[in-house]
Amino acid sequence: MNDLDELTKIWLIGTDQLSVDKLVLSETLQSFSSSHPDYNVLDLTILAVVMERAGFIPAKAKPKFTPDDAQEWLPIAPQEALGALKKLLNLLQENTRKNSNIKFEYCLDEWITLGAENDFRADEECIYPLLSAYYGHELFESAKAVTGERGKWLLKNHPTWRSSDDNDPNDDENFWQTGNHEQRIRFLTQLRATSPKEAFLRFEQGYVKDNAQERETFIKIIGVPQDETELAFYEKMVLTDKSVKVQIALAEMLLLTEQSSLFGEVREIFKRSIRFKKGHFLKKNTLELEFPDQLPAHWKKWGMSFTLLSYLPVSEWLTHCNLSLNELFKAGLASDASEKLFNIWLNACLHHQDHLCWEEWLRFSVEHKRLKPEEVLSVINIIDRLPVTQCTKIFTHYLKEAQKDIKNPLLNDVVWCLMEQYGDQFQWRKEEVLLFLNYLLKMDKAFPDVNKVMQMQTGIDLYVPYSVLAGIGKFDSYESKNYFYPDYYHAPKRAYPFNFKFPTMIPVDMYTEIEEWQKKHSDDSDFSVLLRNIAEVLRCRQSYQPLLTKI
Amino acid sequence: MFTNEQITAIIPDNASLSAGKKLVSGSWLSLGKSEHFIWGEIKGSSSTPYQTGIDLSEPAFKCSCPSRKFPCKHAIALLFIGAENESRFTSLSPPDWMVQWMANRERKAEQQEAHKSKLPPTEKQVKDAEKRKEKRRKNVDEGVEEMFLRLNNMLKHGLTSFAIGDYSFWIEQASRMTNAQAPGLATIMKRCYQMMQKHPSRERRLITELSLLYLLLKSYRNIDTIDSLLKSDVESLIGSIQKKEDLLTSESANTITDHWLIFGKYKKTYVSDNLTAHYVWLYGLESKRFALILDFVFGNNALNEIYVPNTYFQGELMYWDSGFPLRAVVKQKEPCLDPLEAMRSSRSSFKNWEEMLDYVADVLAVQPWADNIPVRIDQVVLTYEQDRWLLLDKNEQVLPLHHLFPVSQIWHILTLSGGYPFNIWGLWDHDEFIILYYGIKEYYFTVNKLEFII
Repeated sequence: MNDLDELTKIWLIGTDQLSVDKLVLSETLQSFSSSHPDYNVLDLTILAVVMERAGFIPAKAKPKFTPDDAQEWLPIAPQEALGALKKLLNLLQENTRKNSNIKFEYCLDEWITLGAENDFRADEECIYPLLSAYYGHELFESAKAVTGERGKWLLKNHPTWRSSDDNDPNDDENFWQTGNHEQRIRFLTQLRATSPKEAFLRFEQGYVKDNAQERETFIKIIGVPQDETELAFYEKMVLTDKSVKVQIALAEMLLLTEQSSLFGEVREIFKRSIRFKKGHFLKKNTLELEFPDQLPAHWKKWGMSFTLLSYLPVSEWLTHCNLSLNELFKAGLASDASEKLFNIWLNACLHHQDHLCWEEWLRFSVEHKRLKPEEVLSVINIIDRLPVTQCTKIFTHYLKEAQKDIKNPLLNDVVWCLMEQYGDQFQWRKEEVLLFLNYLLKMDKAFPDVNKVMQMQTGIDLYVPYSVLAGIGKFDSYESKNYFYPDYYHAPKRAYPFNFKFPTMIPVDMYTEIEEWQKKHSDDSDFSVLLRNIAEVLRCRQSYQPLLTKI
Repeated sequence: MFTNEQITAIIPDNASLSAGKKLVSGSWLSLGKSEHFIWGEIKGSSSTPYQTGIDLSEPAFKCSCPSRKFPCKHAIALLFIGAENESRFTSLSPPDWMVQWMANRERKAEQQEAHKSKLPPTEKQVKDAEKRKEKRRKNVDEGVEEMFLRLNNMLKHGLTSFAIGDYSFWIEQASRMTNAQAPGLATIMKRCYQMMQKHPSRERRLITELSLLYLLLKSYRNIDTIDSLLKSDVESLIGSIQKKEDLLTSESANTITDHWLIFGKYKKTYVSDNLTAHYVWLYGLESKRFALILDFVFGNNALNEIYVPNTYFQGELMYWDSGFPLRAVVKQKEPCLDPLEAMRSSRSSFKNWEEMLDYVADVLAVQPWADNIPVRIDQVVLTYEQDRWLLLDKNEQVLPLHHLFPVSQIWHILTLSGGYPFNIWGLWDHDEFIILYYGIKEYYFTVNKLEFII
């Protein structure tokens, strides 16, 4: 113990409790003390501080990291691709900090996948950001591959990444106790998959110490209770946990378990709160909804009652009201709580993966024009199950809606999402093509700065140049049918933001038809502009060029 | 033109960076450049295009957009265009609005020159200033005595009897010192709170801070008897306001003309005061002298001058009096376009920690409160022990990295170095090291976006 440590004692306890002569001070300091009897503790402390600061002696240590002597054998990626990677990594870091909703990670995924497939590596400046971004991600192996020998060296030396790489079971306990949030998530997910009971035990033991956010996340990992012990724990915590979010997470899991008493309780509430009212004369059949005050009051306040109902399978509704699916939806449409009911049913379909009901819900909603843009985004992955006419109907409906309110981000989001996923499946008749081109023109006017359009789509400034899209093409036949193939070399140098799937080939007959129409309407100046653009855009059908095509 | 890394370092926030990058491929109506200026016009949400101009020698910015950020996204985009594709600047003759701005800048510079040589103050002005000075001195004297009592009180009853972990405890002391016109003492109080929150050996560090405060108070009591340079340090640490204009007009000030390398930059944000201190560290390539340019900004206000890390300028720096002079103001500067690498090779550095600590001891002998002492060390490697990151020299001796130094930066530096020794430029802060600039093989990198929140 040195002088400053000794003096720290007196500072903490106070001179009222401890006197200087009780301290064990060095001779140097004592000599100061004796030669100046009026020196008090303050003087001694400043002397000790100055001596320590001026006489700082560095400790001895050995290097922890053996230098990386492996020879890089992979060639470094081309400069252009590296530039794009750095840009994406920058965006990723900014995005993480801002916690924004911008989705562009798929471009990064594509970069590393193609890089790994084509045996290229990123330069050293990208290694740490890449590995930290992909740690715990399914593409971690690809990320490792593109970071070359230096990446391997880093992984070998990084305490967290190393343990994940070695998969040493002895480290697991330590990992669960001391790892960060992401590491613990990864650990628990793996353990639940391989040894579910063990995973639940760890989760239960740590429950009191974990904060609400952790508890909520871990509940989602543990998922539906698998035995009575787990069920009992969930049932207890659903009513006693201090966090509402955790209560909701627990309730959601319990409602997927038929044995749970909460499930039974909700079923009872449901029976008492939903009433089918038969119509007569001009009055339609309808549903009435009234919740009894049975569940905790705060659950009602937070809309938990609706959340709970959305976990009840739609089949329960059918049995309870003794109706067919179509009749139930019709009655729901006539109800005062129509919006809520359709929302509950949609969520019920999603929770129980009830595809038939889901499709029927979508078909009914399209037919009765009650489909909301938010709902389209939630059901986007089932739209391709609908017949192509209905699928196109949804698209054209939102194309029209978006044109009425061209700056509405939600509507534009729906159009671009649909285009991105099913652009090549829609029934592209003349009307649809015209409608879409008109929409593009409006977008062009509304967002003269092309980057804004891009920002809306992907949040990044990656785009296929117009020169790629608006090429002059040639006609050729494929499977005994004539198609127009775009040629990408003679095009106006203007950028245009496309990154969605477009049919790569356009049937010739349609192209000719449009050209004819163009000739016919050439007097109408506005319309001729539109048609000129149609002709151009029809030549521009090319799928999004991945970043690394050039590698 | 600046590099991407240099541009990133001067950008106010990430949102601006992102917005600026997106505008690089935006629809610029015109882009032009001259020797020290670049400009462009871009269509924005207003009916007329925004006019953006940059004086690269400062750099200084001008934009007709309504943004209050500085530089705005348009200026940032212009800088990135310069970095990525200079050939896009096709126009060589500046448009009228740019000519006008250039002329305004020239006129302003002349006015500043004229301001420096203005008439001496009248007798009444001198008397009033004296009165104010006397009143302030009285207030500060009272504040110092009060601080003495408080310090003695803490020692008498022991620190554990006080709520030293609470913000309110320290902020109350700080407010009293601010009222006593001793803002330097208020800053020390806030720093004490910071120590209690984040420092790994908080009690020891707190006691170090309090005893240095005690030495400062005692020096102030005896200010008439101490050396004149130390006297300047004491006054400055207590919080006497040093006017930049006074220094610039002073004939006795220590002035050095050199090629100044901007090797480091960071900011300290004082959340409770809504104040940000911007630290810019310079190194004179011929004089081998370090300098600190310190600028304070309230709220979201713009900085007076922007310094781009890893660039340098030829200029005249005036140092404030101190036992260990570091803080300076730039009297005059000219951008320097010679190759940086050749200039950097002229430097000399410490070979190991012992050498550096000998130098630190010399510095402390003349200025015992000196913290953040700038130094350069060659050939160190990163290592860690007992949860602390350390820097290991050739003699296998270690010093700890600053506890607030971002871990992601440490791993990044380690990856770049591959475990091999590298050169560092940084600050010795009491008992920890802050890396600001590091050289791996022939490349030098700046530690960007370093921020300490207090």
